[in-house]
Amino acid sequence: MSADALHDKLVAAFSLLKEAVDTTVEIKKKEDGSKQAALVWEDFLGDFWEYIRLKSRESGYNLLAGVSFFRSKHN
Amino acid sequence: MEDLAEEERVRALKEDLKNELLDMRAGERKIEHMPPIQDRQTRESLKREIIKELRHCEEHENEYGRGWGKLPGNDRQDWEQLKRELVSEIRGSMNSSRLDAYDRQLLDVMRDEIRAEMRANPNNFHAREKTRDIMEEMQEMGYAPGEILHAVQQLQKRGTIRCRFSELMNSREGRGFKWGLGAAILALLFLPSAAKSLKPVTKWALKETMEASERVQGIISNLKEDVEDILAEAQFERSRNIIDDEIRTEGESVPAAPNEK
Repeated sequence: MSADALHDKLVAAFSLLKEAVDTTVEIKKKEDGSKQAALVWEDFLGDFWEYIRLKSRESGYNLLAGVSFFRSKHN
Repeated sequence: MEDLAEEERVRALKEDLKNELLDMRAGERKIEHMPPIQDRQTRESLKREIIKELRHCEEHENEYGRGWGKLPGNDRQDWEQLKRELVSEIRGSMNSSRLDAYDRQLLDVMRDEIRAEMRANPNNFHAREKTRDIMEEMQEMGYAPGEILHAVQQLQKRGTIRCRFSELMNSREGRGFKWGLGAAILALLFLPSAAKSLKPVTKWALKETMEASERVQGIISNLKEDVEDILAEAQFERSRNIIDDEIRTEGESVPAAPNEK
């Protein structure tokens, strides 16, 4: 596996995430859907975070090491 | 007795500054102003500094004893304490109408002084107050921030300030300055652009820190974002540390198999 393969996977994931964000916007427009959408996102982010933790523990590599919040935001 | 000696030293330091300023004016030396820094750039660099400070605080929690030590969210009590002290610091700043007069350069000078003193005397934190008091007095005497900065830099070059402040710091217990988020907010307030928006920022800070339920109108969004970024980075940093701790714990609790690398 290479960094290119990782990049390709993340590009594909991002495309789906964008769709999810757009869907969230649509849900938010409806009065009752807002809370439900938030719960779905919470579940997703919670699972995502837990998986990073799990894989970090299993592999012994901190998968967040070297990742900067500012770099990721402004680059 | 000790107080009198300290007063004397402060007076001597002020005198030095004043003489430097008078010399400067008498010689009609031109003061080189720093080129204006793009707001965004300044904010970015300031944010990085603050993050560095937060990390430094966390790393030196035990060493310094006071200060925030832990980042927000680590512990409810710490957070409550942080909020109380932040509100009181902001109120203190609001009582001073002199914030507008500060500029980025002055803040940098003060920061350098404080850092140097923190390194030299980790148990004494009141260099900031001393530096600020002196600079404020100079401003009240009619000197522009740029002039004071120039004078301070001249004295720094000669080692006068460093030496005098070392004496001051050793002379008695400091009042203590709360590094961390409080400093972060105050630092934002010191920026000329932030100073203009002092009121909305303070409104925001009070709202956040006192958990007021009402929405506060007129929040300056970019400043709010800056502070949110700082908190987000701090939280991100914390998450990363959690994983580090877990990996460490995992390594300690699971003994390596004989054939394992």
